[in-house]
Amino acid sequence: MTSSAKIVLAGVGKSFKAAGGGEIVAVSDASITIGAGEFVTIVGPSGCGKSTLLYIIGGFVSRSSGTITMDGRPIEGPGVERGIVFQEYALFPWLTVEQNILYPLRRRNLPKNEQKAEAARLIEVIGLRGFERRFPRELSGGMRQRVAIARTLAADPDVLLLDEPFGALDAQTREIMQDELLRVWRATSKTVCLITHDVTEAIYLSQRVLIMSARPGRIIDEVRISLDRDLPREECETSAAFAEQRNAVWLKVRREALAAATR
Amino acid sequence: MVPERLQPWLKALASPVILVLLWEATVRAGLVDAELLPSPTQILVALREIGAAELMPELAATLFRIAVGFALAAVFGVLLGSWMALSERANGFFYPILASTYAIPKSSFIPLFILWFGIGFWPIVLVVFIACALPVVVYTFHGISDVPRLRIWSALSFGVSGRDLFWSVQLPAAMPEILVGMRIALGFAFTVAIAGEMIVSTTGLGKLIFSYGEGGVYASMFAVISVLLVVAYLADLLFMAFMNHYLRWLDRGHVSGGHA
Repeated sequence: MTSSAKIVLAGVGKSFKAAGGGEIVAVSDASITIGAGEFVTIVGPSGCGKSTLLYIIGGFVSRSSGTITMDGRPIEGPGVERGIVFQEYALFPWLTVEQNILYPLRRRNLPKNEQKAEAARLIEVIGLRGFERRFPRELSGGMRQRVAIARTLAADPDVLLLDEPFGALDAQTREIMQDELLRVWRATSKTVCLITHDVTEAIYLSQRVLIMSARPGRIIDEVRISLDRDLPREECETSAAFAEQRNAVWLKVRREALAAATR
Repeated sequence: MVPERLQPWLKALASPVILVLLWEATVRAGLVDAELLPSPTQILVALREIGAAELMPELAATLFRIAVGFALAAVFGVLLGSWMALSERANGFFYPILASTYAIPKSSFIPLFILWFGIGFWPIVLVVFIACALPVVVYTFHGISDVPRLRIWSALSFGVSGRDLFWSVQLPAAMPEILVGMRIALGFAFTVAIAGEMIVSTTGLGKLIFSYGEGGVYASMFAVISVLLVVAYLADLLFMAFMNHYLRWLDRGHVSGGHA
């Protein structure tokens, strides 16, 4: 895919003041270019600062150093062009399923009937018809996360930032949601940046996998994934090409995880 | 079998009923002097003698003062508590004032209020207002301060900020805490309204309790106290019912009934 750069990070770093007085470096010298319409995944051991990196791209957390631009303009805060799905459902629990999905729709310049229609369409997509008037507490974890994804899609962002969005789901629901994400990505021209520690998920979903080191988090390697995307899932995941690429990434992540664990 | 929707009300009545029965038995057995502690049946007789015609206007006067003071405090408390949570400067300015008033019995303001407003409606309303505002401010402050950041971030990513963020995310997210503060305030409202009426008022249940007590008509005094008790308890039950309905979206187990 020959595409223009959508998001460019140059030498981005983030350090916190530690409670004891020292400095904790969460992210160090991250330089990443994400092309328009590209699906990029960042994998790394837990605690490596990959979520922090995503929050910096989202504009929720300030960076300590470096520059970051989207479409050539510097990112200085959150924006509607960058939607985010968090690991834990950040749904509004006082709103019903439908009201949650309408929340971003009401803040777009759409006629009222189109807002309703779009909400109904998204509810259909996530398979929650009949649950419109339920509150999040009445749903299973998987259902809530589907609502969270639908709510983010309702804002129609150019870039999707996903922070381990399927981490809390059971294996079956996770696969369904992964395929749904792929379908949305192919049907639209959205750019996707996914954070995960699940190497299989990273290989299956993305075009490019970036590997982050144990803290301080640095991008230490990058693997371009080439798979026959037209194959059905079971054939794709059992192919030799899949296994080979999965192992290559897995070994690199494992080395970092061991380094983090023995520190 | 009791219908399921009546069961909470039945539970709420069980322990008061048992207490009243024990009380009756104690007085009848002659364990205490009935002159000093009249039995529940004596109190009921006294209550019938006083009668609704005399009682109702006093009850209405007290409830009206409580309602006005509580309502003003609810609005003021949510606004000030939110402001303090959202602005460090506001917090720095108001916190010392609130912290220093917290320990003062609110009824001690009454002489000052009489000086300002004379005897009547406003001194009571004002002291109710002050007593109720504090818990509402404190609980609102904590509620607004503790909104999970991911909920705020979600809203920010939808382009929501400022007033829209406050009304559509911060305030609803803080409502469970705010309502706990209001429930505490409601209890305070009854306490200080009665205390205030005993000191300054010419009307209200507090005035009635005081004058019966002074006249040594203890059965009648207890009769008014028991009316007050029932009304205050009903007010709390009603508030809890409202709270549970309003917070029906909240995960069960997080609804704070007891720790308030």
